[in-house]
Amino acid sequence: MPQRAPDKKHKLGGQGQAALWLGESLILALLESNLLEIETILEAIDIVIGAKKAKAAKDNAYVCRAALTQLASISASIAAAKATSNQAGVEPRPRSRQRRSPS
Amino acid sequence: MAIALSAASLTRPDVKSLLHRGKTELLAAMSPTPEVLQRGDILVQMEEPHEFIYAIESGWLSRSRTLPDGRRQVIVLFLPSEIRGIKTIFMTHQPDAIEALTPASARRIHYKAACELASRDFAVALHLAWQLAEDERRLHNWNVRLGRANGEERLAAFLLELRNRLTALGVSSAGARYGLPLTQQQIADHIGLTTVHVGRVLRRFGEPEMVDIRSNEVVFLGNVRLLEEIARPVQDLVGE
Repeated sequence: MPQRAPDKKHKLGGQGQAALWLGESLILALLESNLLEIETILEAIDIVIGAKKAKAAKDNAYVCRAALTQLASISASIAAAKATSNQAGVEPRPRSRQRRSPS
Repeated sequence: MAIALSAASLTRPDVKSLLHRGKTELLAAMSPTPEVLQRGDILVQMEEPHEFIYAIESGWLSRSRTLPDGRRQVIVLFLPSEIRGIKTIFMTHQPDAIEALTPASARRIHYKAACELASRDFAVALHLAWQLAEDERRLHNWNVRLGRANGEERLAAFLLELRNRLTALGVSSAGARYGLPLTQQQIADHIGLTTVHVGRVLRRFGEPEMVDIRSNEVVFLGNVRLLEEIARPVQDLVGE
């Protein structure tokens, strides 16, 4: 049976989740490559949390609160992102992938 | 050189037989017919009154707490043969929920009956106290990990703790592989990371062939020693 097309709410939720997961994955990739400091990212997330809190007081409180929950979880998770790779003999991932040469 | 210890070897030799007898007596006093649970069934509701102590006969359960904004912490995992809900002796309400992660079965005893039995038989009282001490030891381990360990250490310690607990329960194959009936979200909720972060760490563990999780099965690969090295700083004397 074909799946029903997602309604607007689910579509927006899917877009939000995709953006959030992509953003977090990119942050973790940059941290693993030593291109970013954890403190810098945590500070950036704190700024977003502050902005969301301010917005929650004015309008869109439900969405803002949901966003704050997600941001708090991401912040706690990223705080634990310091790699042990060198202790365990695991090489960090390469900083960039080899580009394909233009054909 | 590190000495290989097990939970059993840490237990004082002079109380081992008493503990064994206490557990036997407690189990004998429990309901003969087990309560059967399906995956997702709630055995104890969060913040509601509860009056029973359980012995898990089969399956996996978890204790978890959900915050008002929806964040969730899986506090501890329960495996077969463990006695659970001892705090009902002291507390009218349970602050956390206990949920079946797999089909499970558990026998139970009313806390008053357990108290009465414990007052008559010191071995039962001692076993109840020992189980609380075991739980506290595990919670201390996770307190250290959630407070001080990074994501890799947490995930490595989590996978190895379960390996060691299952091996202690007699699951001889757990040294090489074991079924893990948790979703990536539940793993993340237990070790205080997001699912994205768990996914990335798992991928990092898979590349040098330390461990892999496929279809709810943890498979230890050729370089499991590296995983053990990662976990070691945040493991206790027992290796959990």
